[in-house]
Amino acid sequence: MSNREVLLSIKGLRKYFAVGSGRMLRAVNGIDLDIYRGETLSLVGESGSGKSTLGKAIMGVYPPTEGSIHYAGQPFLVKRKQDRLAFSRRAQMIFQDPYASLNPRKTVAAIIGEGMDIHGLFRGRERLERICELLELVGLRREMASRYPHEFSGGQRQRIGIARALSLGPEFIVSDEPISALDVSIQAQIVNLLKSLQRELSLTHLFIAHDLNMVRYISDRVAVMYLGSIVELADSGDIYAEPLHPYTQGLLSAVPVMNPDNIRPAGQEYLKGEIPSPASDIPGCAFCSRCSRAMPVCETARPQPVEAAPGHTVACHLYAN
Amino acid sequence: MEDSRRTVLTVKDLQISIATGSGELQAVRGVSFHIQEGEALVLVGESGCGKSVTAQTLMRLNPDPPVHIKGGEIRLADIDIVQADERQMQQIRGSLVGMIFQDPMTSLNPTMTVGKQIGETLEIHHKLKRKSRWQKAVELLDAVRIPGAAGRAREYPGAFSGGMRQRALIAAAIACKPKLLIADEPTTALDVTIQAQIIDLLRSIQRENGMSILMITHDLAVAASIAQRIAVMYAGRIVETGTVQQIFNNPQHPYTWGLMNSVPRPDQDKNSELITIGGTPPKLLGPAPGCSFAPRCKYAMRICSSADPEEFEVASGHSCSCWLLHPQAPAAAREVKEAYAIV
Repeated sequence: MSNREVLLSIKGLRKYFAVGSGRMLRAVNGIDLDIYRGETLSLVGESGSGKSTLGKAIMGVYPPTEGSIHYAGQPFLVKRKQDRLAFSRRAQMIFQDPYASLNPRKTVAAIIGEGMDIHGLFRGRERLERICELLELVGLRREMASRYPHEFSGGQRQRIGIARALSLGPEFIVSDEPISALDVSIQAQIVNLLKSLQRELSLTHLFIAHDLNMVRYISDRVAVMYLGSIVELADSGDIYAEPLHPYTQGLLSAVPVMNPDNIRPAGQEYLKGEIPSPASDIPGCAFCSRCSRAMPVCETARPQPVEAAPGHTVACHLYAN
Repeated sequence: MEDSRRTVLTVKDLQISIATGSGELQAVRGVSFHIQEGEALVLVGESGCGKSVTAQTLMRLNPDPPVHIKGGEIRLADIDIVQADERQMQQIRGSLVGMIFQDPMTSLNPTMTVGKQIGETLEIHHKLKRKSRWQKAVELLDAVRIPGAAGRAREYPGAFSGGMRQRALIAAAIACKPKLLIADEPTTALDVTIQAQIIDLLRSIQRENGMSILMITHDLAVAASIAQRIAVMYAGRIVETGTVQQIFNNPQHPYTWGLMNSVPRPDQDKNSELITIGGTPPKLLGPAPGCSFAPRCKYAMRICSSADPEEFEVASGHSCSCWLLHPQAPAAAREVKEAYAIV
């Protein structure tokens, strides 16, 4: 692990939102995470686990309540405009909904070119040439540059969103559920595109998703989030072969399998109940209320991440020494 | 496939067109299937294949115009749905057929307590008094495994999570013990853990009440976990149908293969590309002759773009509309198919 270069390092990151009557929604509640150059790291977890907020906090969409972000060794101060501007050339985001994330009143060329205009990168003919190159890079045709978003299918729009993200030549991409709004056959096309772009352009990729089959296929490492914390982090192969945290075990067992001879008997629930509200104040382990192996200590003390195996960390009292 | 159980629903050669600004959209083009008592049939397909409009038409939920039943037959427990008038349909909806939808967030009335909403069907069909309606609603919430049902019945939908709302909708749909429950993408908007709980609940209800289920989904794995039989739809037609074992262990249609391969397998090599279906589904405004899947099919032959494929019987209860199954299809195509099926 140590010989790999850390591209992005976050320490003690918290992002709270005020939800009225003095209560705080702890969307991201104390996260330490290193992302290595060239890897695909996936964030998985249920709705409300804070995975999207973490992605957006890393991108500087939200200034963190607490904690620090270092990018390529330099501190990234979200509140400083020149930091945000410089960061946006190196890191970009792909969004979930290809219908809502493209301005319907702009042509594809204007959408893809906006970042170049802001940064004053390419002008005139050079700019158009760059836009056409980007379109071809994502598997679209150059003459599509003058069209509007409504003329495209969902899969094509997501390709436009990818071209926009690549327009400034970033090295780091955060994609927030980039395939969940697409049809199954189109999902595979977009995943193939993301993988080949990552290889060709040596991108570092933070992939936020809930489709655990796709996550296994696309990622080098997987971080499992629950209620604002990372509960387990390991190489993709390890986490699927031997999940340690009871939440990860429950999550993986809930994934439906494409094998009718291997479905679980009715009445056997692996993961009971639902994720609590992130606005609730939980002193101990956040997963305690749903955990079948909870102990008295789980209700009072928050478990700290420990390295249970090389490169495999888990935050659970079962693995504390 | 004929067995001693009674057939609850028979659909024969159903054709549905939707009038749009740019012409007639042939959403469903000759769909036939049947569901036996206590059986779960899953219609699998992508957006725009006609699976939802088929399900909605079984309850006659769409106004005509623009959605017009051009031909075919729907028989639900001896009632002719196509000919039924609105008054008859109102008696059928909720009592003979219950339906749950994809989006549990918008399917409930936000200004009415959950208990009262569940009681509505009981008021209309069973003429129950207020007190017994409430009691029944609480029992139903308990049956769909909502903890603290008596208290939750007094709450408004806003206080319910997505999974809880879908449970409440299931409770409302099964209140009058319908013979058939139609579930249109019931788990698509939910997390995988909640999805597993809802599927489990539907399976228990099916088993305990002997209810038939027609489920619509785009997710083959979800289909595998609930179906006894599967029908794969593409461009307004059923291209392959069979028991869940037949479809998963011996799929015949190239589109079915494509759907299965689009999802990475647990042992998928990370360095290999996913095998995708190229292109996008066809527009159904004046569809071209021949097999609608031909333009995206790797194994398309000359005949595929000129003549509609016949339906071939692969095994008892397993049929597939694809020219590759024709005895005169080139042996090479068959070998491709066999090699593929092993993968």
